[in-house]
Amino acid sequence: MIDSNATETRQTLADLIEHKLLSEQDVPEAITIAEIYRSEQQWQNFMGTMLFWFGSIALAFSLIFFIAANWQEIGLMSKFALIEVAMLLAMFAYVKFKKNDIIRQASLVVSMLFVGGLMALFGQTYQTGADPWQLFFNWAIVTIPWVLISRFSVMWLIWVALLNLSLSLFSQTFGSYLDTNWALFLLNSFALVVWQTSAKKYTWLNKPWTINLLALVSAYFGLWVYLDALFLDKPLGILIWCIWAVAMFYVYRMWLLNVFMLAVWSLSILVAANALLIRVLPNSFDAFSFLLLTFLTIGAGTFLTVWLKGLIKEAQA
Amino acid sequence: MKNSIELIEFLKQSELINPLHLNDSEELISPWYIKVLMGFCGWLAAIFTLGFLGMGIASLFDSPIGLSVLGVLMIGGSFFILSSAKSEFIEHIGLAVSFAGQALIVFAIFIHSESMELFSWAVLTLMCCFLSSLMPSYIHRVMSAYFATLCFSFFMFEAQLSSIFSSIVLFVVALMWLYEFTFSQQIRKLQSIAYGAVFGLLQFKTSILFAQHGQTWALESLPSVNQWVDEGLNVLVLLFILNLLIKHKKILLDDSQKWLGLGIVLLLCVGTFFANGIVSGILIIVIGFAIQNKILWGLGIISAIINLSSYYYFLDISLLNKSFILGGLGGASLILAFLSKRISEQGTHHEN
Repeated sequence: MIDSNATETRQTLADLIEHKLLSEQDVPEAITIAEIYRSEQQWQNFMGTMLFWFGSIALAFSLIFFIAANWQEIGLMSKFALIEVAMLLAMFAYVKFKKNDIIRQASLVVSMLFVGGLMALFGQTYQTGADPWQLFFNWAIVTIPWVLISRFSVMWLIWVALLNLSLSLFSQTFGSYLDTNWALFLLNSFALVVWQTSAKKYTWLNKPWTINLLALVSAYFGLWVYLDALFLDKPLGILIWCIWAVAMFYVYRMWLLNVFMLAVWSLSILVAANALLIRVLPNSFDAFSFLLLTFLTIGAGTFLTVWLKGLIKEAQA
Repeated sequence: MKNSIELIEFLKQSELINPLHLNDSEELISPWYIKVLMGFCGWLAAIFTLGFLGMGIASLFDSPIGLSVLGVLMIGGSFFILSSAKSEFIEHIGLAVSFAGQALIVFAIFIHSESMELFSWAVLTLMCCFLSSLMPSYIHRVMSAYFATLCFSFFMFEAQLSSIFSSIVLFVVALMWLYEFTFSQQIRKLQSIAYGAVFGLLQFKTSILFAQHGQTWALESLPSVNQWVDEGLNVLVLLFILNLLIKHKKILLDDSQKWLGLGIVLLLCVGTFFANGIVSGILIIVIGFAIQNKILWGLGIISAIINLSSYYYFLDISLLNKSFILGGLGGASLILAFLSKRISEQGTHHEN
């Protein structure tokens, strides 16, 4: 929806105006030349796409809410029939409009949501006594075929989100066996590795924002694992986090240059270094310690920023 | 859309720019994630600086005047540091000193007034507005504009005008983005302030969804937002901006397009009155699309998704009724999508 050149072109235009290379009266003409503003056709496509996606998702959630409301006025079989017919209709739309990307993708997402609704209805009806994590886990397992045929990165993200949800619910239920931060850190790091390695082969997986999102989630839970390990003296957590940090650096600096990933890595390193200093200082909360922490933050922040900017220049060269 | 090299070539051919001066503009503009990293460092260093001051000169925190004077001095010092900043290191120090100085002033106002009152929030709002327009640092301006928006929201709460807050900010922000390139030599300043205000606005719209019984972090009972007024005014802002976009682009709509547009706006009205906050998210998406700004586009989508998700927890309507409302909205939306496609196809057919 947004042109891939947009950020760069907008910056160039702003540079030209700010440096007085383009006079004020010529700005509207320059904007027209740059094609920043949208044509009527682009607006119509935008409205159509937004309406279609909103309508599809709203209908899917409408049905899920309907099932969750457990309305007693209609019979059990009618409820099953309703959600199964909806699933069939969504799959019919997928087959019928296979060549239309938007309808194809939306119908798959909607039918994936319907599967969850059907499983919830099944659990509600037969009182299976299953824990909540089982619903999301089974939902993820059952919808693997949908995800496989979709060739759509958003579907894969939804699938990973289902696994995240089931794993966090599992660790909340059986907390003593698996810590939530550990579970989500390992899951998302594994997903990142698989996604990154598959992105070369499957171009539809190669959407930078999806890989960046996975890295961000992995880094977030990784930091919690590290902080927990550092302050509660669990060396394994520190070791695993260090392996993660080295791997991130190697992959995104040496193998594939990705400055966003290295910015996420830098932020993690900055927080980790501060936490380490707080841990090793004898009096963490006296004036000297705070002064030291201030200088560490400014010094490390400066170094990392300069380094990242240098990498951007390297990438542009 | 043209890429930057094509743009410069076309501008040269049209004789709108002088090719002899082009090298003057070669400077690296940091992407947003590096700015976030710098802002985070400044904020973290400011917390440690405050810790240093608190531990080193604890008695200072008993004197509001002392705190204010030191705060103002630190902000002033930071202004000169940032004005002369030739290196990243100096800029980081400037950010840390300024944020810590602002925090000292907030402490002083807290101590002086004991509870945050109308006047206190007005002073803080003005201070942050002043800093966002004065400070010679992009990151500082974003953060000051963000804090100014938040302080303004508390001011409006105290003034019992919270229901009109989001519409005022939404209106101002939308105009800033639509006219961003008309502020000669002030474009980046305007963009940084507009980003800060958008962050503040989206945080406000999200936080009122999760606010319970009108209580804020200050644990004071505050007047709750009247969603009907809030969302109604948001819809008016949306209509105004859409009208502006149509006029600005001199688009001539035929009758079918006008009816379609009316249908979409009505759909949004119904949607936003039930799932509050959708319109503000949609407006940010529309502006992001109109001016091809990826960050705004992404922020709008995140905001709309959060607002839609919170609809499940909205307690005033039963789950069954929510289901019927969503079903109606979804059905209407699909019909409008179908009509939009038909109108688009007819237009193409007539052109041929």
